[in-house]
Amino acid sequence: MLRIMQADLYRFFQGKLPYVTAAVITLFSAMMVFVFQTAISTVNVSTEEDPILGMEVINGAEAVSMAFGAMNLIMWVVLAVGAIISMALFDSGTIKNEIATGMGRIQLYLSRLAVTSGLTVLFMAFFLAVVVVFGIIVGGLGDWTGDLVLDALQVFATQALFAVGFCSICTFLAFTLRREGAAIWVYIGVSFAPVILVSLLSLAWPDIAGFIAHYELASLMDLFAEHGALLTSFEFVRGLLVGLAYIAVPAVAGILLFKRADIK
Amino acid sequence: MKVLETRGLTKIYGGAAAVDNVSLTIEKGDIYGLIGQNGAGKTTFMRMVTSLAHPDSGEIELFGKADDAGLQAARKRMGSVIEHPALYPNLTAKQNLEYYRIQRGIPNKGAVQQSLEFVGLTNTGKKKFKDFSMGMKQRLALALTLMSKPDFIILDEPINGLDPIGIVEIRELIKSLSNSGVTILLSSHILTELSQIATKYAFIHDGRLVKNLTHAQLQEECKRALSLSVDDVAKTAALLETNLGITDYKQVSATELRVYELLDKVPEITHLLTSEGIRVSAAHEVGDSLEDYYQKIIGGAQ
Repeated sequence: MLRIMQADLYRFFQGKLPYVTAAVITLFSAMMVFVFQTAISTVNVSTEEDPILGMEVINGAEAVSMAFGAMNLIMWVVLAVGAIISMALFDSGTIKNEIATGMGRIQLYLSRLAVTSGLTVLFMAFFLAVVVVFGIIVGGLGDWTGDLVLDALQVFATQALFAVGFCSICTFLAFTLRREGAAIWVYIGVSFAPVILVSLLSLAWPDIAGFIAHYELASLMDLFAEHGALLTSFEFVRGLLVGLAYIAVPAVAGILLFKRADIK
Repeated sequence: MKVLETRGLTKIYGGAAAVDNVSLTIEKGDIYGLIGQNGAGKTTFMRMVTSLAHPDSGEIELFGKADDAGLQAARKRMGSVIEHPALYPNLTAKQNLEYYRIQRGIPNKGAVQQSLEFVGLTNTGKKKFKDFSMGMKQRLALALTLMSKPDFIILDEPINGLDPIGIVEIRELIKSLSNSGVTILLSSHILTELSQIATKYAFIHDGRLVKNLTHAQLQEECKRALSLSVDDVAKTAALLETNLGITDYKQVSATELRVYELLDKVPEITHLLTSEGIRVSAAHEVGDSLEDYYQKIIGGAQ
């Protein structure tokens, strides 16, 4: 399995995509930091009203929470990049070369899930680091405390867990539909339909929508990024378990279907 | 030694059998040609052997292994190009092979270069796979199968889409692989092309195996001959040898002799026989061209 992952990483870094992605993330981070710097210097908002716009100044330490606020946005971009690993197998037909030479289907599936997840989390970490660097450039280091670092690590870990959940859904679709175009469209539908549904429900039944938000992946990601510290232990553990279920259920279903599938 | 044996292999798509109860055996060193029209079931058969498709019934035994775990391990000794060469379009030839070298855990980094040299693709530089001609793609796919040093190679329509030079190149590559001890199963719908390399043949039609024969048997079946229906076969043979020096002949039945030489001397032959008192009831040329034979087999199956 490690060899499959190693080969996929070799292939991934042979192309321009990782460098283009890194450049896009860097550009987005720079714009975000400088736009917010301009906004907080012109808008008078307290931190109670908006924790980000209420900042007095952006610096390295303050940039951490800003990065988490935009993490789910970046996750969509990098997930699409990571997903190309699995999509290309079926688009180019190269999956045949692997199965026909006796590679286990479970190994093939899990290694692609691991690579997609690894790349997604890697780029999310890169985004966090770049935003912090720009924050330092704009306003200096800021007030770095042990608690800040621990909180940041905890939030990042939960964000990574939920992102891997999305990777698992994405891998499931790639290996089940085995057509790049179909997988992309279904993935967009699967990813955005619940978000839209929760938003619509919240207009009519705020309580039900709030309840669903604890079980819907994108909402969970937002919840843990922005209000993680306010969650009760029960809500926190439940969120993690839901995140793990989003990883495990598509993975098990995907493996079972892929094992039985005829490859064209 | 048996490399591949299938017993009653069947695959059903939409209620119709794409492969219907196919049993065949491939021995070590064979260049086994699977012949049939498009849609006859050749590719489906190969896909089942390579585990890309699951049989609905029947058994596959590869290198003596028939259970799932054994088959998976045995497939590591196999290389294949099924349907069309599948490699990453945005990678070069070298990058594609390096990818698979890493994936397959081949420690020798020189394996990539050696494989490219074998198929004559060392000078493609930064040209990407998607920009290769069909012949180059076929050769690179072959290089990939060779990199793992397989004992058994499956090639599905390896000359499809190739120009005449490309066909010759692939043919020579297959011959040299066979000479190095690799067993080969290849499919084609062109018998004349296959007949230049294969040592054994299986004709497949509508998913069924309709004929199985060796190269020598095929040659025999397709050999042009003068069929003589006579009342005394022994005397006829003696006369032909003595008077015309004919030695290449075969007694087919008690009244029929087939002569494989001097086919342009039919009047002389019949004159000799009748003048020596042999009663010749029929004398005509028999034997098919490869294409006629193919059509006869397929037609007979319909």
